[in-house]
Amino acid sequence: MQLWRKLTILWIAAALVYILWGAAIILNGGSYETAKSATFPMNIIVAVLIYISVFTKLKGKSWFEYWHDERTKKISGRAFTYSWLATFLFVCMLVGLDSFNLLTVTVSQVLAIIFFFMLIGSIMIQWYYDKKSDVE
Amino acid sequence: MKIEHKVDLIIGLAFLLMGIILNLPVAIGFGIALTLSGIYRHIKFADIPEHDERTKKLSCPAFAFTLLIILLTVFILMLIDKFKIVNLTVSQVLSVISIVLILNLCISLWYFRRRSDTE
Repeated sequence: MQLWRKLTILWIAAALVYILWGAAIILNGGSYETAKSATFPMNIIVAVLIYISVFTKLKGKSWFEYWHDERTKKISGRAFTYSWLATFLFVCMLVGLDSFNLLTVTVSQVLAIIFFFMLIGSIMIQWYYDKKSDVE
Repeated sequence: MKIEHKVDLIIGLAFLLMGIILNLPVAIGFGIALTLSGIYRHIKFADIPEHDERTKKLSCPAFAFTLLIILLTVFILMLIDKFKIVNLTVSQVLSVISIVLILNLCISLWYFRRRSDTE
């Protein structure tokens, strides 16, 4: 079976669960507004599944295979290596700044800084090597 | 003896002497680490190269796996901080993250290099 057909079956099943859940709330004596607010997360799930299935139908399966040849694997491996090194140096810098009391941050700020530094760093390095078309 | 091993040993012994004379614990630790790594590299990589194509290719999945584990660790720490399960300080969080960074890299490098090749 093709990939987009599987995804279509999946989002129809999710929509059925959505309708049944709302019907069960109304049959148990809830109002229409209560059912709408209780099943709100299903909106997002169904919308994302519909988007993915339409995207897969338009692009075809070869679009996904394009990202997994030898060259992109080599590039992403090297990008992750440099990203690990950058994260390590960044954490060392934060330890130094914290132990000499040069900046005052809270725990959630530190965690958010490290999280986004790692994500954006690895994506940027991958994009850089992809534009250069090869490593070294 | 290779030139980089010599440089390791000389800088390590210099830091060790400086730490003992000036009574600096940080310099003593740095000197001991550099001296030991110089001796180890001289024993193990005396006549073979330290990095070649195969080890570079094998170490890539280890780095990727470590980054994934770090993302999960940061996520779990965020949840712990959000729901106030443990009262964390900044230095505790940073030490947890750096220990996970180094230990996980060592373990996964050993694991992935033990296999002869990745598919």
